[in-house]
Amino acid sequence: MEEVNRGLEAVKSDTTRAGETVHVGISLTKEALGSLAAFFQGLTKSAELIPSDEDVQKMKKGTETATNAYLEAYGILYAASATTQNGNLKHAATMAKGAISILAPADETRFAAEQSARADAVELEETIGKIRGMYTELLTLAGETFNIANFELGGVALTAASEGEQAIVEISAYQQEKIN
Amino acid sequence: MSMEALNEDLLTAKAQLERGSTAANAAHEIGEAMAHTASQLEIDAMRAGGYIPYSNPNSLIPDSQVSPSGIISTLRTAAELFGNARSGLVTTMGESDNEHIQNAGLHLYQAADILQQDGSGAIPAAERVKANIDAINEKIMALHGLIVGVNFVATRLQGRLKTSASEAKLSMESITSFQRQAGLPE
Repeated sequence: MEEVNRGLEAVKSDTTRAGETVHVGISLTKEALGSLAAFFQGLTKSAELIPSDEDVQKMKKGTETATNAYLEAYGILYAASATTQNGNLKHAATMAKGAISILAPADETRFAAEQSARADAVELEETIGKIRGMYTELLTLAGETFNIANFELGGVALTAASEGEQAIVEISAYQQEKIN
Repeated sequence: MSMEALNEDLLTAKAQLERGSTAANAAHEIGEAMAHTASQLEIDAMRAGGYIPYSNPNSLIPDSQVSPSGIISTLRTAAELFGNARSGLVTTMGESDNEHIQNAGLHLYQAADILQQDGSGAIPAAERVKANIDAINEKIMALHGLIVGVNFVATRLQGRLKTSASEAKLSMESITSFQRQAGLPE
């Protein structure tokens, strides 16, 4: 009987260690949940900073408005400088053309288009759209991960620890009945 | 073309240049604010990334102390210990028909099973958490790259808008010089 008792004590000891280990896992999970919550909060807060569609559109429209206005001015100045051959008007036409080429060059070859403000505005619109989508994906993923960690991992692990405790209770009951 | 007619055209050109430079300057201000916002977003993304429970020496994001790999290995150890305890119980008691021992064996079996069970166990859940966190880490790094890109392009765009407005001003000044030389209304 003493040998049996020693064996049962060893089983209880293993079970206790197993339960403690589960609790370490639960404690690590709680820390991970805290980190995930902080991550989620930080992300939610900064998502509010993403430039609005309205701002992006205003910027694009400003670029287009300026381009069209410069184009009209350039047409007039080109004709005036050709008529008068005046140096000031030639310079005025050159400057207007320069302003256009910075915003939206007429010969929009790939290289030229990549150098323009119009191309920058389009790139910004696309990238900001991607960023907005990515924040949404990240927030969804973080929320889903939080739920898995909280309910499926933490909750289930607690049940396992409780099963271990029940096993110890049963062994102790046996010891009381048969051994002590 | 008479000088009066020419000047009418030049006044129209100046008005258009003024309109264009005003629009470019307004857009420039938005671009400047956008670049500033992108800098803040970049800082925030790095800060948020620091909270991801992740451990990877190659990550751009600072490592968190709590890694899902650590949780998985802890729970595996626990499952193994529960399994050992059950084996110990069987060895000690043989095929006991005692109700307490049978119950204890069942609880130990369930404890190990609850941790490892396919789909609904704690360890598979921890593995899913790990997979999600890997995906979050990758996304936050990609997001960081996009934000840096927005900062760069917004800065370049606002520079271009400002330069175009300056060129329009120079064009207007040259028109004014012509008007003054010719004694025309400005």
